[in-house]
Amino acid sequence: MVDSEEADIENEQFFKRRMTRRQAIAKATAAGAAIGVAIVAGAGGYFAGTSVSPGKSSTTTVTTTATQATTSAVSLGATPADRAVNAVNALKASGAIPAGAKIRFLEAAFRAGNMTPTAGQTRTDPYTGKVIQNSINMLTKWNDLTGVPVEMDLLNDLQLYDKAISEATTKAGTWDFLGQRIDFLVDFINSGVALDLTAFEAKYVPEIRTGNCPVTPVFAQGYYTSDGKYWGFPGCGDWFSYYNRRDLVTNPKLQSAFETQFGYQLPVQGPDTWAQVLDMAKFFDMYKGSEQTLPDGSTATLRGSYFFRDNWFSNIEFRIRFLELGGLLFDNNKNVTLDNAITRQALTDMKALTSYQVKDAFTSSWPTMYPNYSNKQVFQTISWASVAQFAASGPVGGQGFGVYQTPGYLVNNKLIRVTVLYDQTSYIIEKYGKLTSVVPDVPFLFGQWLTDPEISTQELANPGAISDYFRTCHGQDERMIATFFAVWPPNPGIEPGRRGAAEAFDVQFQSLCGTWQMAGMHELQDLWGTQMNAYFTGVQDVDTSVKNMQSGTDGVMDRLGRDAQFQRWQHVVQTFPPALKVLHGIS
Amino acid sequence: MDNKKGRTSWLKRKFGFNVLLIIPLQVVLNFVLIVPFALAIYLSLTNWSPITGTWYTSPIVGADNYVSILTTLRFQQAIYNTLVIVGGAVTLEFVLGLVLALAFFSWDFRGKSIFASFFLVPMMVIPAISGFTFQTIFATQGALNDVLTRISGTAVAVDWLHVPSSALLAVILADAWQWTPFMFLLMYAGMTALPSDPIRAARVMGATERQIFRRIMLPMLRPIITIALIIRSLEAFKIFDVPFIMTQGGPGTTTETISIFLYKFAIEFARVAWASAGAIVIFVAIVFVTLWASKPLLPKAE
Repeated sequence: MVDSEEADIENEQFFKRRMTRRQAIAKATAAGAAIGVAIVAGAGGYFAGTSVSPGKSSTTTVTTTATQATTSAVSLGATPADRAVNAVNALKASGAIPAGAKIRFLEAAFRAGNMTPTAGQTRTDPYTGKVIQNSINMLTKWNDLTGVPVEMDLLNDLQLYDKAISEATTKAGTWDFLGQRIDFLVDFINSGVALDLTAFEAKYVPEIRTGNCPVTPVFAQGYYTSDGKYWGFPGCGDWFSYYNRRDLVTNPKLQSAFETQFGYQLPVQGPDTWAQVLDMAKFFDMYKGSEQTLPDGSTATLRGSYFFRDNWFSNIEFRIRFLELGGLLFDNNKNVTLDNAITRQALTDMKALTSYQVKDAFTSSWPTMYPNYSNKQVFQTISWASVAQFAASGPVGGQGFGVYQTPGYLVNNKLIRVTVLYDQTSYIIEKYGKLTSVVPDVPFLFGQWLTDPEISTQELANPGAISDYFRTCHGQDERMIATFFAVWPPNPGIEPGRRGAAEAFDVQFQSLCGTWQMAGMHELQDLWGTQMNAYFTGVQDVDTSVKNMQSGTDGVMDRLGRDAQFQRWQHVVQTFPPALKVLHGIS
Repeated sequence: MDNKKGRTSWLKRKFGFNVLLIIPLQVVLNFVLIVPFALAIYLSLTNWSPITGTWYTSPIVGADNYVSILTTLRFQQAIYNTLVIVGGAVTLEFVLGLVLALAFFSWDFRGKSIFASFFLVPMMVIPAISGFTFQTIFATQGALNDVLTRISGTAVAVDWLHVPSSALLAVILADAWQWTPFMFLLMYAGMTALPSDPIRAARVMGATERQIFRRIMLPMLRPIITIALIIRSLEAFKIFDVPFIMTQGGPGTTTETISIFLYKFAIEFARVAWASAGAIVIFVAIVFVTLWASKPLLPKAE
């Protein structure tokens, strides 16, 4: 123990440079050793997961269970939102929520328009000049109701995965509420970063699979593991919709020219099969180049199609075609079954379409695509369903987009359509989040409130929202229909006489297949996308790509547990649309 | 007490007081460098992944990861791609940098310093931004095709970034654009530091400018050229931002560099142990290559 007076004297001596060399050496060595020990302890703590990390100075005991129920769900309120708000206020009153607490929310940047930070602002439509109100600020609204602020950070959605896995590694985190792709959920569960929400669901009843407006079953399936545990909230039920230039397909002269060339009528209601998609791409691609003359006398610079071909989207389109052709990832003996004729046909057909594509499809992004489409440079394209509201406001919008279902393949003379959820997003509660570590109920209740039928409708039914419907009542809600109908044309591809987008959703729900939820999906999707794009761009032949897909997938399955992966695949199979279940004899 | 005094005296005699002073810092540095490095080596011998459990309970698999990664075609291709980019970009940067430096050194003209500053601007651009800029230039509907269309009078729509050879070339050009100024700077500094007597003497004796450059300047510049090439090659070997943004390693994996490969497998696919083995392999290779390349600069033993 050093007397304070002595210490002062020592300091004075030091600063007056009266310290002896021996003293200096001793102090410097001691300081160096202390720092060294601290670093070793820090590194050990980092890997041992004792939460030695920026922002955390001591070991944290992570609370992973719901606080003791003091009231029943019914007494908390009639709706999920009411229960969420009342429960938070009750927790606050009981002193369970520390002063200054806030929810840290890590969200995918592209979805930010749903609620914040651009929420509440207006934007000017570049095509029409109209001022459009962006999303209402849901986070401010939550803060007003509960007094618990939400601080949002934005990242690229793939980087969100990296962040979550990093926090799982260190077992120390910053964020409580994490927007993520649902196909990565298994990795989050296995790494321990996702909080098991089963007890919270029982306690607060967010009505995911119950109530008058449950989450669409095929989406809801994605939040429950095969053992019945519940892990996430829905954020967006993303899937592809298909669009083409309605002004062109309804033109009599073009219809006549198409029929002459291909021997059947131009599918005005949208192509039913991928073969028709290819024919239409071929037909309209003839007008590429410098201001070619269309049969109706107008001039155009047009490419046949613009289906994304980056790794991610190639992979999704492949999965659609693969399933439609009757492909299954595993056989009954748990063997991966990618190296077969079905995979080869799917890839060969995709490559055929590539010839009529805008070549930027391999490297482009949404902002690159829209001008291509709305400037009449592309005949047909894909997009997620709600995005059409932006594209439709372009110069082509007034003449109408055709929106149609996922094209299919004829198998045994029966048309099979499958729509794979490609980016179904979810919100998980991060186990190591700062607030979660103390009172995990609060981020859970925020999720419950945000995805409540009424609150989520408010969120989605505005021109700034970018997410797709995920609850069964969303498609029937007049506010939602008004928003989408206001900017979408009547839909010729679904059922004449019915109103636009909302009906498109209803019909497309019938062909939806659940997200492929398995461990290592990030790696698998990169593997498949990389291999098929290597074939599409002429780097290697189809056999090489297929064999690499097979061997790479086998490697992942062996490494991460083939039996468990097979079980997860069985869970996916249960989400197959009816036509696919019939094809495979699944009851 | 006497013993203690004796020990300090011995240390003082052996190393000197100045050396003793830096020992604490050295201890810290060793922990910063050696501990993570040792952990990386250890992890490379396990089959740990954050999505399969904790690192300290992960079983030791010995050299399996090393065998596996060395026989992985994608890793081999990443090495090949990186070597092509390093070879192409550094050569281009060196040649252009040397020519520019020689021009600046040989000619006096007004505004020389302003031009010199102007040349250095690309080096200050964040690589991610330069990657995005070059992606815009080489896009099918990008600036390059637009210029070619205007010049030729016919629609040019070359798919620069999804043809393997041109995608690699585009990455090389982007890197060369950014780092030629660095070579220019080093070469120019080297030239201005050369002793003027031998050059003047050669000139008096009737040597041509070309002879002066080849026979006098170039040999004298050799140490700085070697250092410049080593520094740039080491940096280029780690190239990540530019190809990641321009091509994301595609088409296929034809522009996937070692850094992109390791990033994808270690961070994106959470195969930390396997990627650690790859990183160690690359580290060892770089150490040997650097030692070999810098051999001429090291003092020769008597």
